[in-house]
Amino acid sequence: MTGLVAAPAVIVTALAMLYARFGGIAQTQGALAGLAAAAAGLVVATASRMAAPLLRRRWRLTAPFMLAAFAAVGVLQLPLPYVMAALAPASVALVWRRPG
Amino acid sequence: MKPLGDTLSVLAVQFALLSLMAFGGANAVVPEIHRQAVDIRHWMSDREFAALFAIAQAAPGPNFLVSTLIGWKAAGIAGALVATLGMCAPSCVLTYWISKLWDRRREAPWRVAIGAGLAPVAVGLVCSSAFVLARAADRNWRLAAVTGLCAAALSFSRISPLWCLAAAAALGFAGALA
Repeated sequence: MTGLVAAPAVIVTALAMLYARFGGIAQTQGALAGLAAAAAGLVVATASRMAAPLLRRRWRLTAPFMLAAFAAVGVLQLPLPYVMAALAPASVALVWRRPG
Repeated sequence: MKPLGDTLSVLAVQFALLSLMAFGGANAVVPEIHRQAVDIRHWMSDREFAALFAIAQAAPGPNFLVSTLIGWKAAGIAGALVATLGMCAPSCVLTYWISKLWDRRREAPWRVAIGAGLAPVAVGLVCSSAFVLARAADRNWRLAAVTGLCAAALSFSRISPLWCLAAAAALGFAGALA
């Protein structure tokens, strides 16, 4: 476990140091900007892949909580602990009362 | 500038808290990391946040390593260490105890309800991450197009994400995305 985290953590920190050292060069800035845009695309794809099965099966139950979490955390940028404390128990309770 | 000890304890507490809320994986807590690191503590700009997240994605290893880089940016090597431990330790311990129970009671109604109830919230959080990252990274229409193309390529084909990252970095290096 330690090795699984430690080695990549060292690698990633070394990369960040290189970025800090050479971040001022136009090419590095360009490459990082492209990388960041692609990484955002990766997360968009992950989000859609996670959302699809839930929306296909029980969208009436799941869509309101997805939208609420997105609006609160993504758009309004409210603190995550409060949002979780409000949404998670409500969502679990609803599923509990209407299983399947 | 605050003393280093203050920053380190903030990092430890924040990431330990976050690791306990990361039901949807590290991607679900990216907006909260962003809010803390950019908006509240001013450890970095929006642009640096997007760059550090991208480095963590492109490098090998688990994607919670973004916490390592946030810690590093905030407080150097000590910060990287503290943030990584904070992000790992609580959830590792919890996972160890809970996953046994969780797997053993796969069919139990409470288990099904908790899993099914948390899932839409987690998905909404990952959508939030996508939104926060795209807003930070896409400074012009070309970069926005890269985000859109990568998302489409990864959603509709089985291409490795590394190809998307490499292609986008190469385009950026050549100056085609400025």
